[in-house]
Amino acid sequence: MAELKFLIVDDSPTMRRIVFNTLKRLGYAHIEEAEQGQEAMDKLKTIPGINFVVTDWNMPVMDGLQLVQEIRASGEFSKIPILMVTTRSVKDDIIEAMKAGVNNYIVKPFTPDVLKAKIDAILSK
Amino acid sequence: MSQNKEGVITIIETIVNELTILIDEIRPFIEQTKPIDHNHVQQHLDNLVTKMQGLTDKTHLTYELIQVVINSIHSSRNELKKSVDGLLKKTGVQLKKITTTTEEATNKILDVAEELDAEQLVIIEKLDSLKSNNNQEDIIEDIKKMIFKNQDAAFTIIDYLQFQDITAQQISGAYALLSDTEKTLLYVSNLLKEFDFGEEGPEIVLPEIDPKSFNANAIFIDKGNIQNLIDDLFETGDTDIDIPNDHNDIELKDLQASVADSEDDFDIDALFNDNNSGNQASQDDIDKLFS
Repeated sequence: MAELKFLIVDDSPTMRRIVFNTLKRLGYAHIEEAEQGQEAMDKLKTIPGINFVVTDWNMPVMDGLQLVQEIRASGEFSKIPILMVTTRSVKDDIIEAMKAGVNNYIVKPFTPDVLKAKIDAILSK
Repeated sequence: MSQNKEGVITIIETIVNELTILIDEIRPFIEQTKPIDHNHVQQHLDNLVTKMQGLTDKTHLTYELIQVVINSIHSSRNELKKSVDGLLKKTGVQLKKITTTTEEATNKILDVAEELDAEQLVIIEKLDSLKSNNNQEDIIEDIKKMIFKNQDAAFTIIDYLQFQDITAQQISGAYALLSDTEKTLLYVSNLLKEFDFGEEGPEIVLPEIDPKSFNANAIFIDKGNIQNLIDDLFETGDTDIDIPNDHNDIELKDLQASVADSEDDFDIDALFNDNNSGNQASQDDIDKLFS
């Protein structure tokens, strides 16, 4: 895979900043941000080279699950790896996200080690 | 007056009786079979008039009672409206304020943490250049280790700051709940308003929160236990894995795991048992619980 260019999707500016800093610390330099799913779809279409999405679930307008479904249904971006980082931790939610097409799933609060492990796991497949 | 002690129904029943008797008295006269007893008829007519007056008095009294009830309802509605307009809206504003405050505070801490991180790298570079000009390698290595440790600490702070997102979602949940309560109270208030003649109830216009934008069940606890189960699910695809489907179970499971990990070090019962004041937990015990 080419150099990773992340898109962080979260309506919380604080969480975007935390994920941004964690990715930077893990050595990733190319990081874009979006506040919700619709903005994320717009950025995928307008910013070239985004090849990894880290998304929250609970967001206004278009939530993370809808975003995953939109991305998987789109021809152009359907293969992009998606990591969901969310507070939702009940089994039904996790299975729903899995069926929608997320590649891996992290429950907040998370540590940088967990984020790194999930990114590595996704990229190794 | 004795009539005032009677209920309206009793008065009406008496009037009906009087009318029945009166009709019976008049009927022979109408049928011309019996001469009319004027005194008897007059007596019943007098009774009827008295009862009719009693009915008027009683109706007036009933109206006054209804007025009291209407005034009471009006007063209650005003109190309800004051409560809706005041307390609940203030609570909503306060909750929003908490979110804004924690957001600002969190970002200030993030500013410091980012500066700390950037400065650490500069110091490490300077120490490296110093190393080439001196033989104090051990000391320099120690300093570097300390700086790296500080850097880790800065990132630990950043990790912990995820609390802001979680509390914000909890607060949004509380606000949505209050908003629903407010809608219900306004609806009841508008129903009561029907008792006021010629007045229309206030229009229900409340700020909406997108229910997709928060998870009211968000909790800030170490999710290591659940994360391991999720990892198994994604690795194996086995949906029968025992991940709790109830928020309380998740909280309990992770708290139990957390306590089990550290139960050798302290007595959790002593920490939470209010009845055992002689065995209160020390700050060290509390620190161990949250460490």
